[in-house]
Amino acid sequence: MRTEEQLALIDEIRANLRLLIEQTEVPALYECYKMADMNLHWAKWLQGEVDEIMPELERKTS
Amino acid sequence: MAVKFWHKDLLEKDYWNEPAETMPREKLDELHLKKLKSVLRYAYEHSRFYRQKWDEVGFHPEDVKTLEGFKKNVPITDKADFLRYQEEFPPYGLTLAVEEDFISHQSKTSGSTGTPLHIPFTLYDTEKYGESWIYGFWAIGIRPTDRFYFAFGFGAYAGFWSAYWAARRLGATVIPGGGADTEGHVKNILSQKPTVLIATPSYALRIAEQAKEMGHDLSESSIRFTYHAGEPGPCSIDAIRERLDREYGAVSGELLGVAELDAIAPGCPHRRGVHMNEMNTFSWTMAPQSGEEVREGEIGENVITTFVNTAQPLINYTTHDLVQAYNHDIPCGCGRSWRYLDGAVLGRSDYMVTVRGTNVYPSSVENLVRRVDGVSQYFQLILSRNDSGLDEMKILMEPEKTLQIERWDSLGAEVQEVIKDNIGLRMDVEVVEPGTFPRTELKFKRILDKRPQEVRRRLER
Repeated sequence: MRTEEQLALIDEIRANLRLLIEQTEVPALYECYKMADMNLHWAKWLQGEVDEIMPELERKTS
Repeated sequence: MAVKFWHKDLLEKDYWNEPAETMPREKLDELHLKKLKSVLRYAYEHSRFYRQKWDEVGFHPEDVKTLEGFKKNVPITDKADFLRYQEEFPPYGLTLAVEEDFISHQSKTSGSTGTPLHIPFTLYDTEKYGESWIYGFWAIGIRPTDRFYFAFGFGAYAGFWSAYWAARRLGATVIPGGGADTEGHVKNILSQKPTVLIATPSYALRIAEQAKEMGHDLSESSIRFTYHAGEPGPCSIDAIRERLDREYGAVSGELLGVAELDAIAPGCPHRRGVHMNEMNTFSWTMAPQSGEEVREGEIGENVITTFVNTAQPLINYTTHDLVQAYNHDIPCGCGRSWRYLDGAVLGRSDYMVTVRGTNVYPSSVENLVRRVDGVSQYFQLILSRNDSGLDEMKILMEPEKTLQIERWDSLGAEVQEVIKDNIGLRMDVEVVEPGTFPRTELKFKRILDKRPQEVRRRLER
């Protein structure tokens, strides 16, 4: 898979994760989703795609 | 059949992250500018320290359009800035950029310059910090299938914890050795059969020596790699690399870390220097006197901006480490494009030595000795290396001529106590007769370095 395709897929997953983070009422699941989002933010960072230095800032501005 | 976590073809890769580690300089610089803009904006919006500091000098993050502009226009910071604010408003001063309840881990520096610096990390910070080590692990052949033995207790220092974060992130086995004495570490190594030893270089040699005293040769043990930080190690000093390799019959590696910044530079696999982790840091070399950037390959201070520490951002932060750095035409030949520090740290612009694993600034010891009534201006700090490979510092001092001989012993004990209380190290103190030191020298030689030339940093020889 090309880098561009990987990055697009990460964006799609993160958009879905954002919904889960916002809507879950279970602390245990909230932490799971947040960790997943953090790692995907990192995967983008390591591939040179950066908007903000931490995922929380992106969630705040979206 | 047991579950396997890694595919063999991934384990056989030469790099932990090849696209990043071999990224062309132009692309790296383009990325740095993007990240720096993001960090500057973040710090200005969230850290009172930076907003105040930058507003005072009329700097605004939007002023930065190029990397050159960043180096020239962003005010330099150093540890003293942060210490001052932390002392005034403990525990973190105005330097935090996140809410306190967002902090997941607190470390501190050793306090060898006086007061320890508190270092807050978010969870994400710790994950990124740990990963920095992995680039160096992977480069010399360490893999997730390895078993790490940690020959230290987990105190407050970032170095120990970050090595643990690294092994966890790598997915390797962690065998903690906390609580064991040196003999216990030998026994643990022999019985638990780790393949990687994590320790300071001097302590690793001490363990090997202890093993010999117990009748064991660790070069025949399960250890295949030793990895080190905290003191000049295998990528800094040839004699140390050769001795570590020989004692363990293994490949030794070194990480250059700066506690408050990151595990900034994992060792080059060719082991004559280290590469700055350019995913996590942006750095350049500054002439200590002028503050100007030096030319590639010239010695100067390593000035770093970390992308790791978001809890307490550190921007254009001078480490006072003297380095000889290359961004282009990297001489090591390992294939990595990341900024190369030949010989790692060559010295300190503020001259620091490492005594039994603790960083010590002779100038701070000097100031402490001066505090004690009854000590004359004639005293000397003598640095030597003991048989176990540990650096030692001894203080030889003349009392004031007026001090009665019966009080000399208590004077020595008082000096020892002041140093122990402030630096945490017990140093030998010897009181010698007034007139012992020659008075003819133009400048009194305060520090006498008796360590063999080959174990000193290049600029300290």
